[in-house]
Amino acid sequence: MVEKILFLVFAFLTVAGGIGTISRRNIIHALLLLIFTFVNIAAIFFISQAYFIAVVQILVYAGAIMVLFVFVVMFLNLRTFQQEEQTHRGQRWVALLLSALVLAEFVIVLAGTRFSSVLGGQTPDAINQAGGSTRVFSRALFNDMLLPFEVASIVLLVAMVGAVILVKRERSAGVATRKWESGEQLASEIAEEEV
Amino acid sequence: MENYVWLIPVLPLAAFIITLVLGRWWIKESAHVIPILAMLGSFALSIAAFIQVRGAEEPVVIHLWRWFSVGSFQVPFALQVDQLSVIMLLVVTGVGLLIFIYSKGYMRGDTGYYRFFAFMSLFAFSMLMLVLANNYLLLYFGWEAVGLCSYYLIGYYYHKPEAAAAGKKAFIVNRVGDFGFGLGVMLIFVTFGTLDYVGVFEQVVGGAAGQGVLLAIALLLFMGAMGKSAQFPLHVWLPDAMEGPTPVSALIHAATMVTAGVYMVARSSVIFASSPSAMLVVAAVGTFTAIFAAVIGICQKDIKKVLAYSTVSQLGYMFMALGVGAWAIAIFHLMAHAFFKALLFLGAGSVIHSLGGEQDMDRMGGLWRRVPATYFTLVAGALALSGIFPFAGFWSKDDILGSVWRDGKYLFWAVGLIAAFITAFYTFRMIFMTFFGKSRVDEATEKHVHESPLSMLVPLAVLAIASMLGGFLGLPGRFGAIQGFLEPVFAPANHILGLEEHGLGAVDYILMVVSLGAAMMGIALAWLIYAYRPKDLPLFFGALFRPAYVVVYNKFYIDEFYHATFVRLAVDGSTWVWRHFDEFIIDGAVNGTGRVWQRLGGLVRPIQTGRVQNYLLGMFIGVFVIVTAVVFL
Amino acid sequence: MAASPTDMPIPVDWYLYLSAVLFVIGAVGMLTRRNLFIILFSLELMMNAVNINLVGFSRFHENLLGQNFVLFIMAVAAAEAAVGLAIATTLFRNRQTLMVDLFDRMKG
Repeated sequence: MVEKILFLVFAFLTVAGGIGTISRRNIIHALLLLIFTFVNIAAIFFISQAYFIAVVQILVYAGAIMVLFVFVVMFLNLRTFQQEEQTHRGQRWVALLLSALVLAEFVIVLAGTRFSSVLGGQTPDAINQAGGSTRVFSRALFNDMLLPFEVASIVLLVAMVGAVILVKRERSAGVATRKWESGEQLASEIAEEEV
Repeated sequence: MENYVWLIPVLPLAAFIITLVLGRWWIKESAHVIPILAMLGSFALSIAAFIQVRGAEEPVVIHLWRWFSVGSFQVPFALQVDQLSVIMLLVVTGVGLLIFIYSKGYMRGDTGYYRFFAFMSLFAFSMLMLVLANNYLLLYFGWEAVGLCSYYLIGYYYHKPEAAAAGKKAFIVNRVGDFGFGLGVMLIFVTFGTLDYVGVFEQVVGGAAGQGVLLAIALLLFMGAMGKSAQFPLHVWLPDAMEGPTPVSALIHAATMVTAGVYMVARSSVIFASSPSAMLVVAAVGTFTAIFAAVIGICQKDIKKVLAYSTVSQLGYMFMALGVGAWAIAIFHLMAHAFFKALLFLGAGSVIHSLGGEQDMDRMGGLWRRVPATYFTLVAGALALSGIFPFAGFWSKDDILGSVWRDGKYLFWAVGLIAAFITAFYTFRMIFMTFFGKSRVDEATEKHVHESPLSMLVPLAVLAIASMLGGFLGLPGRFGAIQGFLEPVFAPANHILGLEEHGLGAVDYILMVVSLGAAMMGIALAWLIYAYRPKDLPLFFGALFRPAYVVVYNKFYIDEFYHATFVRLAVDGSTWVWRHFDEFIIDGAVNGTGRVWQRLGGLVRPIQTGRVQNYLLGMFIGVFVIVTAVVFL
Repeated sequence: MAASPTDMPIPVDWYLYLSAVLFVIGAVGMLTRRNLFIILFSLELMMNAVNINLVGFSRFHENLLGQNFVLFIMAVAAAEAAVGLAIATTLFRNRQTLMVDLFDRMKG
């Protein structure tokens, strides 16, 4: 009972945070609201007794990824309060309509579904018995899921290297000094042609 | 005979191929040797055929190979040798041989020497095929082939635009006639189921076709004859054809090709005899053409043009004869005409050659002392043409007029008589203007004047003798050797018409005297105007009858009329079709198709905005559609 | 609190509804906003929606495999965020703007 209420509360907060994220003009506000959303999701995970995941959510998502975003936003020196039109004139309504339709569809489908399950036996009790979710997790991760684990780490490595290379400043290319008009050549392309 | 008759056309064909292929590099100046030898061979073989065919009752048909064999359409490549074809063979090969020899001298030094002889040989082949054919389709083949050679040889001096245009004109006008001819041949096949002479004529005699069909066939065939033999109104190409070298004019446009029409009608005598209306048409056209052309001939200044109109006129006489059922006499006139017209052309060529290319009679005169041999032979030809006793033309023309009178067509006879008077007049006008009086030759050419070489003079002499003596082959009535010789061929037609041999009555003698008188009056008038007082009278008459003179001089403006109507119609018509149909519709369709796709592409292209979010939306829509389809349908 | 399979406190539907809503919110954000960062944020939202979904089912099926999956999703999300931000940086450097509808050189 309590769980349900808590769930509803946090669910509501999550949704609110989500809506807030996508509707803010100010990037920093949006960013912070996203963090807020993540924390609420972590709370939901806690309620669902997915402790490991909940913590990882906070650590990785809210902690690492969002911090990265913060760094980049600051680094780029964006005018945080954007003056321009924020949404596509043309696509706005189509997107909204479409999304409403999709949501309606989801709801209809969900409403008409009976869920049944072949229980896997890993109830929270069982997990606690086995030494806590972390222990069970790590057992699974390093035994059955070793390959995906290693691949994931390589993915991270590649992403890291890629990001570094992408951001590296080329010797001859300059930084653009004014806003690029649609159709203009890139400064780097001009440099390329000269070379 | 089977063994060698096929060689008669093949020898010139071989000469053509050899001369054309090797002519440029190997033979060059000797290009005349092989063609002349070929013609000689053909002539000899023709004589042999002549000897063998005398007295034969039935034609000899020599089957060479199967040509068309499609269901019921069976046309063999076969030759028919009878008295009629043999006479034509002799004329073509004999006169042709003489002209070839003449050409050796006349065309010497010309850059296209080998081309000339090659195509003359090809022409000989075509004409011989025409004459030897045993069916209408093969005849048509020869018909078209001679037209092609004529086109080529008229336009022999191809860098002269007038010559090229003349060649085109000849071919196109012929085509008009050939259109009718082709329809006629088709109609024959549809009616009789066969195209060979023997088969068709048997059926006609047996009454296989009705009057209407026969009339139609006859008229259609005659249309072809009108084109090929230059009868009014399809005569316009012949005067222009004088752009070709003189030997061409002599051979093709006097002796042989233009007579193909006469030959064809004579060959189809059975068909024509069965249709009195058609005969009348033939006679009328022939008569009209005879006098029409003669009148134009009075005013011509170019020596060759005079002869051209003369040819048209004489062909008219031949059709006049055919139109009253005097088949053999028409052929006789064809033969005699071949002799003296070729003689006249070659003689004119000799004059032109002596004067270094001058053709305008206004700039001739007083030549009889300078080129006596040419002069004598030309006078012989002129006397023959005018119909003076006892030259060939007298007998043949008189036979014709006699037959016309006998047939009861007195109007035609009168017109023919007047035309004879005019013929004599313009012929001797030509002689007097060319050879008599004070020399009007201009100074540069004056030095040039020389008698022509032997290679040119010998043929002239031979033809002169033929013109003088040849007449005796065609004495009137039952004395006529030619009529007798050709009897087996024309017997069926004569039977239909109810004609029979006749002796000579008083009427005939009177007619002879009358026509001779007319001719002599013509000569006298010409002498009066052109020899006695060359300067004054022509101009005097010209001024007196100025409007008439202008009209006649301009050939009654027929060419201009044709140009303003048919030519303009065709040209404007095709321009219109070009603009509206080809450019607008067809090009429009093709370009339009291209443009449609371009536009379509242009319409679809904006979907690629280059913006990722748009693509995302597209994906999202797609997912939505698929999910909906799967879940709800 | 002991939970038995037949008497799960939070019905799995709830997770799913929440997940759907959050997903659609994220989709709207992605399709509508012009700023690149907001788009990236929306992307993270969508991925989180998926995570919620997975966790819900993990609980329903009493199988930790779902949560394993979530872990990997997070790893990949991290990588993708890093690369995405690198791209954003480069873009901004060259064009001084992050309005995505201006990047249309591939059009036509």
